[in-house]
Amino acid sequence: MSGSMRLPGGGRIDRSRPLKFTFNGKGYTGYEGDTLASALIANGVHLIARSMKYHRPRGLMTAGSDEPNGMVQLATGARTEPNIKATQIPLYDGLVASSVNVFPSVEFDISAVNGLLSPFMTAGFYYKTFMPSQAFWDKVAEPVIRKAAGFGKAPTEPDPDVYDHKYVHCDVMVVGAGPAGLSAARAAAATGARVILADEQAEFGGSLLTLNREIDGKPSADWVRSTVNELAGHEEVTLLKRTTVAGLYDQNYMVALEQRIDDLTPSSPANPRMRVWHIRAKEVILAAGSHERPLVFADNDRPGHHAGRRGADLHEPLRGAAMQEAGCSSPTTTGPMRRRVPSRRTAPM
Amino acid sequence: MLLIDCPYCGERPEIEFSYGGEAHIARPENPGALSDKEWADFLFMRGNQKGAFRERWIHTQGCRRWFNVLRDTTSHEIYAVYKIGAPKPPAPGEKPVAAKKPAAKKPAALKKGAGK
Amino acid sequence: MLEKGWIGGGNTGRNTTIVRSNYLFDESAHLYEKSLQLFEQLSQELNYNVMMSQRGVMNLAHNLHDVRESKRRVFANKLNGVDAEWLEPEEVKAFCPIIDISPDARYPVMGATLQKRAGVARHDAVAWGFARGADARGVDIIQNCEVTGLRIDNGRIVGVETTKGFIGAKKVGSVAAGHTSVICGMAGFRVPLTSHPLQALVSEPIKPIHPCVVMSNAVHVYVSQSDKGELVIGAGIDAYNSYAQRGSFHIIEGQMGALRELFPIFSRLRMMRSWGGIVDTTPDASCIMSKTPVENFFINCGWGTGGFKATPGSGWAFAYTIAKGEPHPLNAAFTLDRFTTGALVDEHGAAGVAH
Repeated sequence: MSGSMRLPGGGRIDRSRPLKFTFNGKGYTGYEGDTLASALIANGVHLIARSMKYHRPRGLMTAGSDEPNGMVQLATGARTEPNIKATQIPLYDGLVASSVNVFPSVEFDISAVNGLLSPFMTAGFYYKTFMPSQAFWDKVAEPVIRKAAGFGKAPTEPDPDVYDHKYVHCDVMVVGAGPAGLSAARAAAATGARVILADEQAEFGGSLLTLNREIDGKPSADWVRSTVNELAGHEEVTLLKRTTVAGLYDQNYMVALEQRIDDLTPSSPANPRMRVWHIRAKEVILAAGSHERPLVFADNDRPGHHAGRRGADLHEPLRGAAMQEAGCSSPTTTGPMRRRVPSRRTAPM
Repeated sequence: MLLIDCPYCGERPEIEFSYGGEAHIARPENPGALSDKEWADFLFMRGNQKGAFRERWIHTQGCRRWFNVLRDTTSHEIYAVYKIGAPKPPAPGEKPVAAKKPAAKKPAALKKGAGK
Repeated sequence: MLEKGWIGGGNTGRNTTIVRSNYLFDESAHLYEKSLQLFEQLSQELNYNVMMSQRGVMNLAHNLHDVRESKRRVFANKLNGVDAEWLEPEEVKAFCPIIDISPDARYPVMGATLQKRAGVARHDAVAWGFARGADARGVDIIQNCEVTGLRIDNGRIVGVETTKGFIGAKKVGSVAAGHTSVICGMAGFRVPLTSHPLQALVSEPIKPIHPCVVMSNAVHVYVSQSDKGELVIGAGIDAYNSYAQRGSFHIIEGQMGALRELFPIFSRLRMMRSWGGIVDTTPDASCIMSKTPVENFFINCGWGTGGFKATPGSGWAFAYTIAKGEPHPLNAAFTLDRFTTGALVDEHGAAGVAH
């Protein structure tokens, strides 16, 4: 399968702007607006990674920062980064990525033999083994364990990029730019308050980027656009995309990380790669949305299973392929867990 | 990072200040008259309260003046800031400190902390 | 044994797992060396793999004062039978190739002390290994049981009030770390302790790249790599008193800046978690294992930022103290009385972290 999974229209990509990229040494094509994850799925690549201990095959489970599996080694040389989630990597031309902690390849990984040994490698097994003597631990067991552990690799050269930080104050800090965050920011901005709105995604809208709802009598996508335009028109409003709020400290002190350059464009003091925002707010509104809870069943970690709504958003290219669904919660917030068929097993879920 | 309301300069971030530990420990008038135990009490022994705690800060990067802060060591909420020599503002009840006391109960001259 | 939370949920589960014994003064060196020797046998003793990894600990020197102080400490260690070496910058680089020793660094590396027998151990395994060992020897371990009061009769302890009721006891030992002042407050006396947050953090797991433990007093950072592949990083304490198990971000930011200066290749790594523990610091950066003004009530506290490395030794000496009613020669110097007599054991230099 290659490239055949892409839908002819729709989605958030620009089909007039193809981008070439490489995953595990193989060349693929995606489009402007893709993440690495969506481009891989569109190219029929579902085996992205292996689990840490048993090296079980892992595919993409959901979207954005929720993704637990799809970690890759991004870029090479001094700019390489370990353990970056494919769902959070905007695709760019010339992107190079690879699976982590696999040998010789993600498709055929020798350490998957660990899975056969799982009865002997239960949780915490290492506390009760490897102790014939301290010397055995020092000389044999620990070096082997260390070599097996870890996901990606650190760079081996100094970082050529430039970073920045900034201290700001505001009246209202809104974390998350979905419908709730946008509404809150708009209400606050209307009073003349100094507002900062931050969202980790490249576009504002949150769940409305993929859900089609009606708000204030218009399609939700239009509502998002007009609300963002209105906010951008306020002098005292700062809009921060690709900005993850990482900490809420005492007296409304927040730390946020803005990702400013995603591709390999050289950074400079005038154009830093990332910026740390130190924010002191009078009021804080957390509108960060929810994480979907995965259903618990055997083999729910294997490629082909994905979380309901967000996983479905990511797997949009596959819409039309038969899906099995099971669920336990409201589809607007936490969707059902889905499984694509054909698959080897069709056990009821 | 704490937000500390310097009684001379107003609200400033913690990095402008240095910490002086427990407040209201008076240096003995006549140290030579003290027993070793009394001297150790003055020099080393501390309340280290869990909950409302009176402490000293100096605005090192600002006015460079010492002052007192009444802060909760379990929540980091600052109840009051007051100048050296000013009367002690009352502390809220012991733990847990769920809600701020009405400002009216504090002496009018004292600024309320910025804690949430 | 009473624990208000769960076993290993306090500072044991929050520390950076460094084990070493290169302290300056005789009293400390003897105590920590005893502890290190117990650590070397601990997996066998407990039949529980505590993953003692003697990777070597380097304490960096960044200025002439550091160099003099470090060399003095190496000599002092050797006199006490503690293994110690002085490394010149090139030797530092050979021992830890990823460190930046260029002379134009913001804080250049001018050398380091090295204790090769030092290293890291798995903190959870230490807690659980001891718990299993104690349980097997008949100790009742009661978790989720907070001590709310001490019952004292005529200056002698007779038991503790807890959230689960009164427990009578002939002798009581307090090992409450940051909460020692609270416990002693129940007995009506003050101790020379202040409780501060100490923050630490780990990176996402990466392939082995950092072969040892590197500590720097001057720039306040220490880092090792765990068996799992995470970089484990710690800093100095937050300045203010706190029981909140969290600190301020500028401490973390300063620590990351120092780390990036020392290890430029870490710049693009992502930190996964950060947290704080409440450490009980003393005026002389040495512990207190002592009798108290209350008869048969003993305290073991003041370990500040570095109690984990002392776990076996501290337990060993404290058990002796409780059993005999008098300190063992190993902890005889670490009494509460020293703050009255003035016989302090000033280990601020070797404690590794600013108190």
